[in-house]
Amino acid sequence: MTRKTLFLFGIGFLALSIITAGVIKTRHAAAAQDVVKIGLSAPLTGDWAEYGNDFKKSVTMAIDRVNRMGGVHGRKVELVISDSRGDPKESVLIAEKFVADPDIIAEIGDFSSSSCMAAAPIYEKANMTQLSPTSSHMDFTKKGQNMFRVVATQGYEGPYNARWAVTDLGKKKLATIYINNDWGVDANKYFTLEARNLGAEIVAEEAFVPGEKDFTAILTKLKRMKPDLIYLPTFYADAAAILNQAKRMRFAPVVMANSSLFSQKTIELGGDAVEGIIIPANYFSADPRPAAQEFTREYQAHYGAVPNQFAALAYDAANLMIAALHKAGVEDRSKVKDALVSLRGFQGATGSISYANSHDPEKELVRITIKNGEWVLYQP
Amino acid sequence: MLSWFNSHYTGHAETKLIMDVQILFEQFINGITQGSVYALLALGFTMIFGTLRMVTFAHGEVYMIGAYVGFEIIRLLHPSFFLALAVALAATALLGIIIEILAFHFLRDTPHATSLLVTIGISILLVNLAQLIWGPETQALPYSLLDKIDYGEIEIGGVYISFLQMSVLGVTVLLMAMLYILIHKTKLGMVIRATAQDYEAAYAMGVGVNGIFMVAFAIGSMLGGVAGVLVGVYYNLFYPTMGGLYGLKAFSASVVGGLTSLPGAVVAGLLIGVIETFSVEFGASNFRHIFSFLFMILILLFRSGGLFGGRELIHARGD
Repeated sequence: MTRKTLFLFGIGFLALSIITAGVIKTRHAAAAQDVVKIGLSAPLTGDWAEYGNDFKKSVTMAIDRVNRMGGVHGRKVELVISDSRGDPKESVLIAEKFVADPDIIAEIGDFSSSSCMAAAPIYEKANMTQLSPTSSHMDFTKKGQNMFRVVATQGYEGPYNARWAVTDLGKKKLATIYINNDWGVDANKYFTLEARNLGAEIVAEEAFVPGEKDFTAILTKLKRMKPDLIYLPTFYADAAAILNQAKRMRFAPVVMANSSLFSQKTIELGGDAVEGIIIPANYFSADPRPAAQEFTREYQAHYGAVPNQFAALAYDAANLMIAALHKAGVEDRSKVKDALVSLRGFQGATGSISYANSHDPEKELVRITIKNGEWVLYQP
Repeated sequence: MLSWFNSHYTGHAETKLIMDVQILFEQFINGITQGSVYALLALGFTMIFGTLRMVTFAHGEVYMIGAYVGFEIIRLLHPSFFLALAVALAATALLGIIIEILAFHFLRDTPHATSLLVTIGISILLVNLAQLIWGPETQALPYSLLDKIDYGEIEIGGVYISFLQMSVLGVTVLLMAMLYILIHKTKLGMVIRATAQDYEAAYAMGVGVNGIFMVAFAIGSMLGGVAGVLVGVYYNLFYPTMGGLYGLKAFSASVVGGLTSLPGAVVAGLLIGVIETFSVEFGASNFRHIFSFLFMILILLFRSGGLFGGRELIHARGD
């Protein structure tokens, strides 16, 4: 009996000493070196590991640069990276860990909307800013006052494309073919709504179930209606099938699609048929805007590869966060969100970003097209 | 050939009429092409059900494997359509025999549901296997290779029909005729029919029923393989779940056709294809599958045995 009590005491003491040691150690480190920490939650392993590692590379690069230039308010910025494995449950645990660490002032991440939205209530309760580079679900930024994103949503991209088609290109008679899932229905809805407001006529809105690969019936119908432009909120395999079948029936309309098509796969699957298709993109390595050029150069110098849009979005997230910390100081978590909202004229690799009106940025997307089997900048 | 469609008009009203005829004709061709695929797959279902009196739900996946085999042959070996077809035929025949052994051979005396569930299991297994081998994303043949197996097209009244499109229909009708002759005019056909009617009696008469079941399953699966290569090359899209929707449609075509009738399967497949296409033309594209399945339900309500050969089916059930 006494031996058992003693044993339990022993265990308790050991556990206590480990915990206090940890706490004392971190306090020590913080006090000694005067750092401020930013948390990064991203899928470094699992299905989306590729994207999580793009995040890690860009964010590390941005933070290294800030530290070379003297840090923020005289403090070094330290990045705390946690692997969420693409699992929403894991990102919740990471959020709890981050908010429990008093040195972490704000968080960048996660990759997927479901991970971001699962963790959002914890960040909101702790008044910690959660800035996701890529979460595109409309509801994410409605989860609280502390949620921001860098990527453009369909609610933004749809109307943007409508203005491009109707106002810039002068197309008044439009038709759409969209994939019948929540993404496609939304993408189609926001586009047609704005196009109608701008005075365009939508002659047909044709849906297809995911997995359908025969579009000849839809295309024959559209061919008769002679639209000025066809809008395709779909993914690359569908768009490639649609345009190949159109080509076979000698139907060559002007085609616009979503940023979802920006992939080498579109060209690989589509061949000649996808030539001339126009889409907007968040980031394009040959974008002539200075901020994009600078990022492309810096990333290539660091990692010897051309960055993709995920790396660019994460890079902008890191720089936005640093800019906000310069304004808000490094003491109070709750000031970060106000600083983000008050930022003006931020030029990122993915365009100019402002949170003045909402936590969803409004930005000029880069317009690209396919020419001779390559994605190139669109020249009107 | 029918280019007078375009040249023989004078007034505006006539122009519209002529255009409408052309559109309807084009949609009809679209429907026939789509329907031929359903018909070709439905023939396989019918062949298998006709002999074993059992349904397989792995047929769509056999079709998918056939498509991928054709894809690899054209991509890696030689850009020849007929070579791809031949290898895919051999591969799907073998796959058919394996499925027969796994799902039916050892489960001959168990309730039908057991075999049915095993075929569902095999279909999931095949989809996942394809994802492991070829990845979950859609693949396409390089266009440089595809140009080499392009056999041209003809123009009828402003409508372009490729030879590949025609060969889908041609192959379907040809195979139906060949199967019909095989079943009704040859000795092997007689044995298959005998086995289908009562395999125990056939066995007692000295028929190697296990061999016959395998032959029937192999023939049915080869039909799936042919469809896979034709459709894969026609749309030039290969992905692991490509068999799902087509398998389901083809199964309904087979049921509408009467489950044991070869001409029934072809007619029903073509009908479903044409109905789908016209439901897009005159209605909304998201309703195309609703219309085709509604058609199936209506046919079955009024002719419970299907369009053709319903009596034979009822006969078989009565034993």
